[in-house]
Amino acid sequence: MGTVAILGIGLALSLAGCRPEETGFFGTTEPRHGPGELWMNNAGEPEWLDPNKCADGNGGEILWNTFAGLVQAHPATLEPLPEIATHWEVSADGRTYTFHLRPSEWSDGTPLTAHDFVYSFRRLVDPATASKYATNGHIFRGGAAISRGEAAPETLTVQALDDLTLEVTLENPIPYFLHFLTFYSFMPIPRHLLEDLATRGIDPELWTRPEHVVCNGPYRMTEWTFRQRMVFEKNPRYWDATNVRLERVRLAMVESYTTALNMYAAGEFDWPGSNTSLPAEFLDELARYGDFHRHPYLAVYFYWINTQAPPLDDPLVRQALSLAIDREALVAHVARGGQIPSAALVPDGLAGYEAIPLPLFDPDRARQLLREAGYERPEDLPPVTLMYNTSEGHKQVAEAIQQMWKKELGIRVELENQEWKVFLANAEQMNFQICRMGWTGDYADPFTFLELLTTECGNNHSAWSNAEYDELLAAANRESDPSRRLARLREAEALMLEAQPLIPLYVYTRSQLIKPYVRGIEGNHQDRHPWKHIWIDERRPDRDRQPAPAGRPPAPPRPPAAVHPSAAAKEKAA
Amino acid sequence: MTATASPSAASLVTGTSLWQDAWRRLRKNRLAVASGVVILFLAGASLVGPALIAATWGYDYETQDLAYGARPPSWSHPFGTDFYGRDLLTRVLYGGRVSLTVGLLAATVAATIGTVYGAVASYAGGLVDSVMMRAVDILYALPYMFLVIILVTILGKSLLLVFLALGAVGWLLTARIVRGQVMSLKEQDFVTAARSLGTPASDIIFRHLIPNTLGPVIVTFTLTVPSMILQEAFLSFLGLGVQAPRPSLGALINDGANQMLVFWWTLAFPGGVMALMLFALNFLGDGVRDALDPKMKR
Amino acid sequence: MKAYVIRRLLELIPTALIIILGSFALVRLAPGSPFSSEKEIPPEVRRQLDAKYGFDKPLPEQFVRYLGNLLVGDLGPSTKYPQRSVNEIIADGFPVSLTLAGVALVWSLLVGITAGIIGAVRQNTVWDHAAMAAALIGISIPSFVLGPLLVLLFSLRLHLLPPAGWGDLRHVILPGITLGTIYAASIARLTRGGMLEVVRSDFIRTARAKGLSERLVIWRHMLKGGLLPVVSYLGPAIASMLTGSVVVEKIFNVPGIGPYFVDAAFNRDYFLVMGIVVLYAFFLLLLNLVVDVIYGFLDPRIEYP
Repeated sequence: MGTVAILGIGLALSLAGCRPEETGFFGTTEPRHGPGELWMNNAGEPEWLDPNKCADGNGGEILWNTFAGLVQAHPATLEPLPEIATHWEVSADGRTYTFHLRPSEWSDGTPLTAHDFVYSFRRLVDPATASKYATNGHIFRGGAAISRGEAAPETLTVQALDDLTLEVTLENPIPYFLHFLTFYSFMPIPRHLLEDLATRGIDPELWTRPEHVVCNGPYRMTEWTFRQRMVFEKNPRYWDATNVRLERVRLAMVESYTTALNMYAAGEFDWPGSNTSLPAEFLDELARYGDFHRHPYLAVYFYWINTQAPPLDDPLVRQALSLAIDREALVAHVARGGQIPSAALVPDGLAGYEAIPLPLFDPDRARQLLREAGYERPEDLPPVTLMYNTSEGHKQVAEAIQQMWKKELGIRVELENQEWKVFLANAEQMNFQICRMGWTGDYADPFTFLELLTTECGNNHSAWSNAEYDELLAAANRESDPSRRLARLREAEALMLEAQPLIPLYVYTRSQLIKPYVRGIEGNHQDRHPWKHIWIDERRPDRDRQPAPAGRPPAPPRPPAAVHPSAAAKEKAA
Repeated sequence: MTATASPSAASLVTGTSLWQDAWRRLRKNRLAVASGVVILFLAGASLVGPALIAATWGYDYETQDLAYGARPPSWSHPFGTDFYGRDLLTRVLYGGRVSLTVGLLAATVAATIGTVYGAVASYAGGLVDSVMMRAVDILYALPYMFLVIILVTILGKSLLLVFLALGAVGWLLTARIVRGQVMSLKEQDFVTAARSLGTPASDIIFRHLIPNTLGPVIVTFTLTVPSMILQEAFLSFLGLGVQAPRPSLGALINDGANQMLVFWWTLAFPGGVMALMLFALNFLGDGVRDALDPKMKR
Repeated sequence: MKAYVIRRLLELIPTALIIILGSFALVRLAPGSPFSSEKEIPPEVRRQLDAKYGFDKPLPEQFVRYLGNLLVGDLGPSTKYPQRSVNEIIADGFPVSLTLAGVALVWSLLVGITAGIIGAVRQNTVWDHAAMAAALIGISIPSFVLGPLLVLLFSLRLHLLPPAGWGDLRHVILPGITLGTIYAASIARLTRGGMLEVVRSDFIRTARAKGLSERLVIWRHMLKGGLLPVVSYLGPAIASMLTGSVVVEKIFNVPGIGPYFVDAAFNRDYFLVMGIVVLYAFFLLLLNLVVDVIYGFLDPRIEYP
């Protein structure tokens, strides 16, 4: 009786599901609010709303829209554009930057000066701040020594020449500096507010609560109901306030993606936002709707190999494992998000980098390598354990790869699922054989990935250490000629992939749902979508246009050219 | 009030014929017999099914066919396939084997420990009762997730550990319920009579008190089985329990629930089998309970 | 009776102490730290973080300090939500969980006991089978299945209720029913089982023989005796309802304290975990005491030891 009942319910509901044939869109296309508002999800409460201390995407989404740094990223190309700095000069050796700031104000009317940036950058690396992203400040000369507690924060080579001129000197002439500077760690801090709170006997750490907060970005927080919603209103004192179109943005804190999907369908969200990810099993279905969008994302999924213990201390075995993975099948049938299969660590085309060409799948060569390593029969190879942290997506990839290794090489692989913090502890103590990892690039440069394999990098979980590799990376960083720098980086990556201390699998994509009346959300590889470029289209072309037939979503509408800064046509990933 | 009113008196005199009696009564209960057949069928199918399918079609619970992923039921795959193109029927059968074992065994252990513990505590009363029941409260209140995480860390993972983790909390509810029942029973005349005759405490507990709590115990048992099966899925989520790609019914239902909006069959079939199992178990439980009860009018 | 309650209240102190000590030990012995993350944190920063929360002190010292703070009602800071104290977090979430629990409790008792009585009084009739089949379906559909199904039906199809969120009365209905149904099903089974046990006992037969009306027999004797297992079940059940439900609160995005049982553990948010455990233990101990007192009302023969 129960079987029949459950079966019946399942059938009825799935058949009654809202088919794309009906509307062409997932759920309602009627906005539940006026044209000046945007409702979106932030998935979870941020840990910190302090730019220096924030280290999670939940906080980043808010900081990028409530603070304004020296430069901002173009919403589509991410190219650095003027923000508080109107223009800048670079020294001949590429190490010293002089920024000229526009006169601007904090949201409480206090003038914003170069000193606020100096205060922020010093505070970022000061161990007393205890910022998890203190390493971001290591790009400034002296930053690393300060965060190790070996030098005073005042020794950081960042100084205000006058109220509107800022000079910074870098450790290395890194070409991605201006782009990196758009990151939220480098936003200014309202020193006057923190000091005022301290004199009033209030803990300055609470400065970002809505009753105190002072900011300088396009929006300011007006309501924060813990674990329910945050409301942001346009900041009239933002220097470019006239070009900010949305009056209010409402953020909900919905963790469960299915709940978020339901709320999107019911019109409670116009856009689930970049912190909501859609599960793989829904992607094929959702891709049939007109409000589905996809773009590449600068993050790589790979497996670390602990190179210390047999049989994985043999590079031949590690290469065999890599070659036995059918990455194209993995992406097409398991990850299902149109990810880009990759056997190299650095994605192709990243800041002009040409990816190392490696076969994506070569089972014959893999078997041959295994024989060369002395394992004539697959039974000779002891079982290998693959560790991943609790997550449906990681499990799916691990199960598929386990079968590929079993099928192609005859290797017995045990899967080991671990709770996140236990997983981290084991990874840190090298207490594993193979473990999964995803790495998001902090900036558009190969170094953000290649740095992982250096001997001193605390995130290197392979125990692989190669002096030549370390030296090649250091030399690349000293290099001020961009093409010679890339060549050295490429040489280093080739050397590293030969040793195979990790197995790259694919480059991520981001799949999103955006209501057809929401405009100005550009796909970019860091999934950053400033609210100030977003607007609600009241013309509603989706109602006039015939919905596209199921199977192929209609092209996303082009934003009008008037959006500032000049908007580029949205490129959709294949 | 006569001594025959107590089931224990009957069992004292005619120990074996009680079971024969019960068996006779159980066989007459058509619903219970049908339920027993269903359970035997499920157990048998889950035991031989996967091997049979492997022999006939050549795939087992972990054989993937990525290009044939997430297909609805068809003649070649009656329950459809999962995300990786694995045959769902094979996985449900294999998972059913794991979950039936884990669920029944853990629930039996929990019911046994809980019943004896609750009865002893209640019958002893006073300080013993206080200490024993406070211990139950403490176990209830300790953060279970940390208990499991530490168990895994210290002892590694094994099926025995799953039972330990499930058993650690499974028996607590039974203990409380039985204690409540016994508190009432022990003041009844047949117990007072037995006590005044000098019957040893263990006899009173095992022969007089526990048999009279069988009704709620069997009900609790049937409530515990599904919660143990779902709990096992939670344990494997924490890294304990059955590890992928080996399925369990609880894990299959969990996965199915995540996918039910797009692949309804991934929930409907494991869920259906679980429901069928619970129904059968429940009616059988009721039947056994009635059969063992000599007060039942014929 | 009075002496019994006083003695039980005194027992609470050592019990609570053991719970707090045991939980503290478990929470701290688990591998991982609140500050571990995918990206390495500079060691000096890590030291500062540990010092800020006092994690650099020896564990016994930390425990004593925690107990001291607990006595003055300070549950400590949260490492995951550093802008808030555990007191604030619980003060925000607890009333929410309480509201949800109220709805769920009323629903589960109403439906559960009614179904149980029908089942017991009309034993082995169509009514009994229907009620018990419904209860079984309730037990076999876990809340993570029932919740989404209700949302699909009532929010996305019929547009009667919001799919998730919190604010007005309409938000309470679906999560309340989802949470209550699981308990309702168990209560129905326990009520029926308990009542049937009583039906066969001699005092009911005596009552019937004395010619008491069937209704009086049901209400005065069967129900009172039959509710014993239900009451035993309700102690821990209400305690866990009051402290929220992980699954239901997540599905419906209810900002109660239920999800902390899992999330705070995952985040190793030490003080938050302890705060939640202390709150839960408080209700559990209190409710079990209430349950034991209620035994005496339901069955006057029970003597308080």
